[in-house]
Amino acid sequence: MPLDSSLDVTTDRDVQFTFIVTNSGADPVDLSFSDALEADFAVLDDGSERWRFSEGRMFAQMLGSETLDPGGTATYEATWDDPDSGSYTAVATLEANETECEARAEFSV
Amino acid sequence: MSDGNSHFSRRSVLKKSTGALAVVGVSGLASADPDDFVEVNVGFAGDSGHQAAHNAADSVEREFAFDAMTIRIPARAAKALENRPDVRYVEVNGEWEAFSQTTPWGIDRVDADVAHANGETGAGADIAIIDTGIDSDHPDLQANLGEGKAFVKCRGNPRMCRQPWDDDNDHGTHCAGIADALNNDEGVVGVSTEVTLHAAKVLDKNGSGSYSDIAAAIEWTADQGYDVGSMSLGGSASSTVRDACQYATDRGVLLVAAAGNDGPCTDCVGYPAGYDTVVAVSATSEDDSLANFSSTGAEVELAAPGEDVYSSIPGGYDTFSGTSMACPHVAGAGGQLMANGYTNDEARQRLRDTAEDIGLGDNEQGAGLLDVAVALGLDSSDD
Repeated sequence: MPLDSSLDVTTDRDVQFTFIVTNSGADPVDLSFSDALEADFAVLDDGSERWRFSEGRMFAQMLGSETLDPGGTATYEATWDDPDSGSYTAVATLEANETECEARAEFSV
Repeated sequence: MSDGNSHFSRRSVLKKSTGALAVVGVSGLASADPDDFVEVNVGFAGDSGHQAAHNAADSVEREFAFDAMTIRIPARAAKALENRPDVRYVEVNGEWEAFSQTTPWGIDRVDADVAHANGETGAGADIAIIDTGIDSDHPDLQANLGEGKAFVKCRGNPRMCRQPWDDDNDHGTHCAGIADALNNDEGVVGVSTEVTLHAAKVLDKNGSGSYSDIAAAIEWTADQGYDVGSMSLGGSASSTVRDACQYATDRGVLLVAAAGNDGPCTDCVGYPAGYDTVVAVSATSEDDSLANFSSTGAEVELAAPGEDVYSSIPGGYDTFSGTSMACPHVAGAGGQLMANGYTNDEARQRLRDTAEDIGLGDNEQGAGLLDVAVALGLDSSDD
């Protein structure tokens, strides 16, 4: 599927992640989701997971869908509230059915 | 209006609303759809006939000094009244409107409409909708709203977030309408119609919530003494949520949850539905097949309608799918039973004992498809 993506990380007292998925193809792309978890975010420290958005959370069990027109974007956000200082890799993953889309970014706290 | 097989898209509802005024003759009752509301004059003989008309009425418009009254009533119930020996006559009151309330297919399929026609409303019971909140201003819900509590903030403009527990997502208001939308002349109707709904807002505007907030809402549901906790949410196992479910069950709460949307899959029921204190509900389609998204497993206790379900959202109505939509059908039925004096354990057993076998596997349907009418001891011969 012709999806491009980017991950921005803003570090303040907390860490804010913005995951932007773009349809770079010529045709509309339909995204379908099994529940309210549409994108997940993880923080890796030398490959071991330090934090994950979906960890410790439950989700509304309703199907979701979104159509991205050519050039259209979808934006997903999450916040890591209590970061420890260090250097990390952030990984954002689109949780749409039968779709692979992931973006990574390095950041420090 | 409703023939047992059709459900209504938004378009067909709008079309119906614009042509809602219908003029009928003396045979008006015969031509009315059973689910339509009609205004009729009822002449009765004696107290039992008077009481029967009162019980069947959605609202009483006029009581005469002589033995007659004008009431608003579903056509189905009007026909039943007409057949009573202590009712002298039922006549259509002049011109009447075919009001534009839609009976969603799921309400019809679980025979909640039969319960309504027999005067079962669930009045006196309390259901906590543990979800994204409930629209505090929805005309199809407002009269049933009780207290609410916000465990997460409503994030929206002041018009949306009038109450801290208002719905900034749509999901909670949709579930509330399935369980308990008013039986009136607009929108939809719920499984129960006069249960008091309490919004426990634990899911944020994106539809997710923390284990701790969800556990606190379950605890609150128990401490408030509510009868049912409806949880159209799920995820991985949480010890805190499990403990909260035990706490609430021990204090008399009937807990119901969505089995999960990981289907097609086997042995994949999520939590809290997977806990033995919680009734896990799988989702069916209008043709009684298992919805392809529905999780399955030994924990599934009941099946209920979950695909293409029409219900309330803030400011209107929409059609959603998910085991989230199946769950509040069972919650509304639990409210109906507990309004009739059942304990949480008795209600749970009764719902299992009276479920309809629709031929799916045990891991798919549990005891079977929810049957509200039979659970309440009513004849659901229209199936």
